[in-house]
Parts: sequence; C-alpha cells; structure tokens
Amino acid sequence: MNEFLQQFLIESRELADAASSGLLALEQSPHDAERLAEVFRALHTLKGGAGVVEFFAMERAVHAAEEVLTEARMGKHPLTTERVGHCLTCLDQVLAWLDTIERSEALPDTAASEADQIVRRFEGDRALSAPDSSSSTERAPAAWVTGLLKGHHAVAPRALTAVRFVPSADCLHQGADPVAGMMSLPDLLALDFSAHLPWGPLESLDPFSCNLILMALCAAPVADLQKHLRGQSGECEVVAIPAAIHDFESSLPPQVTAVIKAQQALLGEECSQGFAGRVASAGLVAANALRSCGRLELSQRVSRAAEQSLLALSARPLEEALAQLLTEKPSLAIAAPDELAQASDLAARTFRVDAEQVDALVRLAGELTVVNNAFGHVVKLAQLGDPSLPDVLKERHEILQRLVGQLQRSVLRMRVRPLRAVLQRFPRVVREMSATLDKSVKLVIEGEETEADKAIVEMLFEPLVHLVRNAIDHGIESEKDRIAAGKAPIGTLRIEARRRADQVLIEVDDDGAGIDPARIREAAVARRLRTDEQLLAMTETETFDLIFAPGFSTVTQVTQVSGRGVGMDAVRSAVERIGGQVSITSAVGRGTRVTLSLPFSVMMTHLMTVEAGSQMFGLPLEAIIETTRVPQAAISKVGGASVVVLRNRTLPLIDLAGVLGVQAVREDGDGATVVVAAANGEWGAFQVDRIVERLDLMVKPLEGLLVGTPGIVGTTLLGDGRVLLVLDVAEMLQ
Amino acid sequence: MTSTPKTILVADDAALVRLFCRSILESAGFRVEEALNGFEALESLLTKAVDLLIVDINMPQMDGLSFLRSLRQKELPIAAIPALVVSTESSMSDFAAARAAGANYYLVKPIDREQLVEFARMLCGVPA
Repeated sequence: MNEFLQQFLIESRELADAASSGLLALEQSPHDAERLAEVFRALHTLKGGAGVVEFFAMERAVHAAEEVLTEARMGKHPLTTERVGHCLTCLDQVLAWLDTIERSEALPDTAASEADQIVRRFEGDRALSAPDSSSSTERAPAAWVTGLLKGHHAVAPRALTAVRFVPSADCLHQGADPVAGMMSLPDLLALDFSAHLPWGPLESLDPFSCNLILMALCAAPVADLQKHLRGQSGECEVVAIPAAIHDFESSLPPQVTAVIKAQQALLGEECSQGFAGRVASAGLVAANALRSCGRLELSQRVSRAAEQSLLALSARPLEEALAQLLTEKPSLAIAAPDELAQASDLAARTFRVDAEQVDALVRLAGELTVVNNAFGHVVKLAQLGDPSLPDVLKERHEILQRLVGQLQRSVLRMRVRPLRAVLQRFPRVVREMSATLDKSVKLVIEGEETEADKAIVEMLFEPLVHLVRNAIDHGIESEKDRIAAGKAPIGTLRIEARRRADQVLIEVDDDGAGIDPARIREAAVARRLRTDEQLLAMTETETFDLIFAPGFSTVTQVTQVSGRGVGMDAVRSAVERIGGQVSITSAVGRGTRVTLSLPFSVMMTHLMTVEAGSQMFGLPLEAIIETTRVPQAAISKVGGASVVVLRNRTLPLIDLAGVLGVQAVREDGDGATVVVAAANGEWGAFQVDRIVERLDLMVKPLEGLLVGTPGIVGTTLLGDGRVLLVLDVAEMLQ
Repeated sequence: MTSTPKTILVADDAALVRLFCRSILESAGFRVEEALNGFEALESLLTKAVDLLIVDINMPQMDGLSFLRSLRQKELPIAAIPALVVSTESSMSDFAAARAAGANYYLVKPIDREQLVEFARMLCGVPA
C-alpha cells in the first residue's frame, strides 16, 4: 500500500472517531458551538482527504454530513437527534469503507450506491422537517420560589435549589430547632422567615408553638439538601431552580445591556485593519460586563464565542452570541443546561489541582534534589573506595525510596476526579434508550461527586452503558406489564456511586422484572457452559455470576438496543482490566442490582510484551535496557549456560521459553532476539521468539493459589481478555 | 476587592482630568496609570499590564482616535484591552468615529463620578 493511502487511512479513522464522539457529545449539548466547529472541521478534513485520494463516493457521503453541521452552525437547522443519527450512520459507513480500502486499496463496488443512500437519507430529512421548535418545556416555578428569588436577587443567579420548610407546630417540644437546621443547610445563600398562620394577639401567643415558614436559597443540589433535611418534622419542599428562571426573573441590568449593544455596534463597523483587536476587545468587554453583574455562565459563553470568532476570522460567532443575549430570554433558558455540561466537559480536559497538592509536590521535588545532591558525595566516596560506602548508599536508597513512594502517591492523588464526568451523560442515554425501547424509565443518579482515578472515570462509560441498556431492555417491564404486576407504571433506574475504603462502588439498580435463576441455569445448559450437575452444586451468587460468562444471554430475541448479550462479559472484562470486580444480585419481580467495585487509584505499568513458546509475557519496561538481535556467533556456551557478548559486555542468555517450561517456536542457529534487562544491578539477556508491543496496563499482584509463584510479579488483562503474566526480572536474573 | 486590583490607564492631556479620574478610580479600588497622549499610552502598554483604557479624544501628538486605531492593530492581548472614550463632544458623529476607531464605550464629559466607576467596573469585569 502506498504511503499516501496509509496516511489517509490513519487520518481518516482518527477523524471519523473524533467526529463520532463529538456528535455524541452534541446530542447532549446541541448548542455547544465550539464542539460544532470541531465536528465540522473533522468532517471537512475527512471529506477533503477522500477527495485527494479520489474516493468520490466517500467524499459525497461525508459532504452530506458536513452540510448538516454547516446548517446547525449557521442556525438554519438545529442538530436534532435524528440528524445526529444520520451523521453517525454515515461515519459508520465511512469506517466500513476504510476497512475495505485497507484490504483492497479501493472502495467496494457498492460504495456508490451506499453513498447515494446516505445522501438520500440526509435529503429526505431536510425535505421533511421544518426547523422544529425546541422540545424542552419549562414548568412555571411556584410563586414562593420566584418571590424568594426576587427578594434575594443578588444571590439568585447562584441559587440551585429553593427550600420551603413549615416546621410542625409542636417541633419545639420535640427538641427540634428548625431555624438552626435551616441555617446549617449546605451552601446556604439566603434565608427568609415568615409567619405560617397570622399571629394572634400577643397575650394569647404560645411561645413554644412554632408558627414559621422558613424559606432558603442554596447553591447545593437538591439531593444534598434532601439528605440534610431528612428527619425534620414538618412539611418540606425542596425545589430545583430551573436555570431558566434566572433569565425570566432577572434580566440584564440596563447598563450592561447598553455596553453589550455598544459591542455589537463595534463589531458591526466595517474595518479593514485591527480585526482581531476589535473582536477580542468587544468580546472581552461584553464578557466583563456580564461578569460584573454576576452572570458568569453567560460571560463564559461570550468568551468562548469570541475565541471562535478569532479562530474563524469572522465576527459572526460573537455577534450571534451577543444577539442571543439581548433577544428573548427563553432561548437562553434552553441553552442554559448545556452550559453545565460544557463546564464539566472543560473540567474533563483541563485538570484542577489543589494548590496544596502542588505545594506538596514542590516540597517533594526539593527533597529529591537534596537526595540527588547527596549522591555527588556518594560518588566521591566510591571513587575513594571508602568502606562506609555500602552503608551510605543503603541509607540514601531508603530515603529515595520513601520520597519516590510519596511522589507516586501525590501524583495519584492528583489524578482523582469526580464521577460526574461520566454519570452526567446518562440522563441522555437513558432518555434515548427508553424512547427506542418504548419503556418509561425514571433515572436517579446519586453520588456524582464521588471521586476516582482519572483512568477509571474515563473507562467507566462503556460498561455502564451496557448495564443501563440491559436494565432498560431486559429489566424494566413495559408500562402495561408493570401495571399488571401492581408496580408503579414508570420504572426506576438508579445509578449510585460511593466510596468505600479504597474502593469505589457503583451500583446500577432497576426495579424491573429481575432475573430468574432457573432461566440462567437453562440458558447455561443450552449453551453448554455448565452441566446440570455443576449447576446443582452452585450457589445462587455463582449462578448469577454465569451472566458474565462470554456469550451468555437469556434473551433469545435480539433487540436493537441490547444486541446479542455480548454486553455482560464485556462489562466484566472492562472492569477487571482496571482491577475491579463486578457482581449481580436479583430478585424475580423486584429488580436487579449490578455492583461494580473498582479500585480508587490505578497504577499503570509500562510493559513490553514478548512472545516465547507461542505465549505472551510482559516485561516491565523500566527494567529493559534494549532489545536487539544478536548473531549466532555472539552466543557461546559457558559450562551449562549460554552467554551472549553484546557491546563488549558478557551477559547471561536466558531462554525465556526454556525457563518457563514452554516449547520455543523458532529455528535455532540463526541468532536470537533478545531483550536486555537489568534489575538490582544484575544484567541479563532474555531470548524471546518475538517482541510484540508496548502497553500501559494495570498489573495486579498474584492472588490465591498463585501467590509466591517465582518469577512472576503479577497478571494483567489484555484488551482481548487474555491474561498476561508479567515477569519479575529481578527474580529471573538471580 | 480581595483579588488583585485592576489597572486603568488614563490617557488625557489635561492634568485635572487625570487627577479627577485617579482620585475616583483609586477610591473605588483600581490602580491608575497615566499617559499624556496616545504615544505615551502605547508606550506604557508595552511595559504595564492594563485592564482598561480611559481615553480622551483630543490630545496633542497622537489623539485618542489614532491611538485606538493603532492599538487595535497591535498583537493580542494588548489589542484587546477594553477602551472607554471620554470626550466633551456629545454628537453622534463623534460617538461613531470613536467606535470606528475601536472604542468599546463612550462617555461624555463632564464625567459623572458614579457613572465612571460603574462603567470602569463593567468593562473590567469587576463585580459592582
């Protein structure tokens, strides 16, 4: 294959992937202009590439998708779920074509008609749909909420939740202190008191009877407040303040509006020079004005629009953003939730680190420098042949070990991120799946603030999607069935995350039909996973565990969403790959709960995988000095052992296959592929059949019966589910 | 203000106006730098971090409008510094000329104390 084509394949796959994930993100936040631009660019480049290598069918198909993005960017037609779907289908087709191209260096013969089909789909969509009005409907908030917000307009923009609490009249007798209770609400912004019933004449007042209505605004989410208020006696209402309300209730102050209008005028000026300066300053001023009146979200949005304008060399994105600020508020209201998502997306890309942690790192770096300097002294001792050298070295080594340990821990601590980044994607996922499957599902997410290592947060989405999909598809019954079973018509799906010791637990819980162990047994027998006798001996937990076996599925009907039951073993292998575990419990008629127990932190090890005797082994990269091929002449026998001379150094040659008792698959007498490794000052050359690749994986120490197996540090799972033994170089060299 | 104070560069040839602006703005928590004309202003932008420019239109050597025009052609982020033009003229044509030169907002002399602080805060992004 020529270099050109190879480059095209690599690049196109990357672009298609980037566009796909961008599109998925856009489903959640269709107003994310930055992402729109990103996806557009990816598609545009993809199309361009196809044109260059003259795959015209592909060019045509991608062009159609690109058009959709252009329309969305110009505001001509919003990026509906359906349109995103078409784009994704198009990209899937592109990926399929790329596979064909890789094999045959040409598009398949069917490509032209496939491309036509895609183009037609886009066109059909365009013809059918007039720009649709947004589907989101805002419920009018209760009067007390709006009143409260008005009364505290200074803090109102930050308020997420409003609380109205009417303590029971006798609560004081019960020893409750409702006022103190309210005062200690998390992130309290404002607190109002009023009388519940009109006050009677003073002489008839009962000072021990509580006659209050307490109302508060908080910047904490509803769930936190509910938790806080649990157990209070009285009537309590906790209401999430829709983002829209702020815009309805407190539009921009007139001076700010004036300043923004002035920036619009500035942008509208015809000018040939100083474009960047004008746009940037207009954006800055508008953003600053918004910031000065506390509208931070809007301010950020304007800043982003300004950046886009600068990138695109067009005032338009900024002009549009400013126009949006000044037009009808509801349009802002709809865009508002996206901002939250966007803000956390940003958080996912950039890393917030506690200043204290940075300080700790700086201190550590300082200490390491001291130790490092001390080695100068050690070197001198060594040159002089000082007898105290071993002791000094040992002492230094201990200090170094301690510091490196601390460093590792600090760095790991920095990688910690809240699970929100993943969990917040699920409302959308659930909405879509339940629509596709025609089920009514309410999603409850708890513990979004739970933290885990970045690597874990990043890998969690896929397994969770499988679990959620299974719960909605196979767990939760149709509304009709639920009513017949005497259940609430709407099913509840709960995703809860929490921390337990050094583990992070994630539970996916549904109140659906549950799984019948008898059906699992039947399926296991039918698929010849287990015999009847084996099954009889199994506990219920073990039986449920079968669900995670490869190729297991109790649902014979293949559905669009869940597919063929490949999900659960994928979940298991994904979770185990990062050192976690998965378990499932279920009660017929009551629901199913899957629990993922994940390690809090993940230590990635750089490995080099090698093949010896058609088996793969991992060698820690830190121990490897070099890999090379040595000619037969460089290998000689000394006594019973082989040695190899490499760069004037004689190294013991260790035949990995021989040592590990596997049959080597290579021809002798033709030199050897060796991995030169060192540990604890011992050098050696491992002879292998083949060097495979470099990987970053989490190595788990050996467990159970295998503990103490010589020569093995631990195991890790490869992407395809195979277990990789990681060798202990130090031990093997001894 | 707990955060670092914002710096405002006042470019005006009239010492009285500079003094007036300085006293108002400093008591509102800003740091104030001064320049006598456009050249001086451009020069001091190269060495000082400025968050807002308050620019008079009529100045000797380099007037406010030419100053703004060349400011907007500088490199970012200097080119993006917000600029508030103050002038004794209140005609629309003046306003338009200031805008065409790249001004972000326009105030008419005599300057109202509160108005000046208010707009300075807005253009710098300082909470009221």
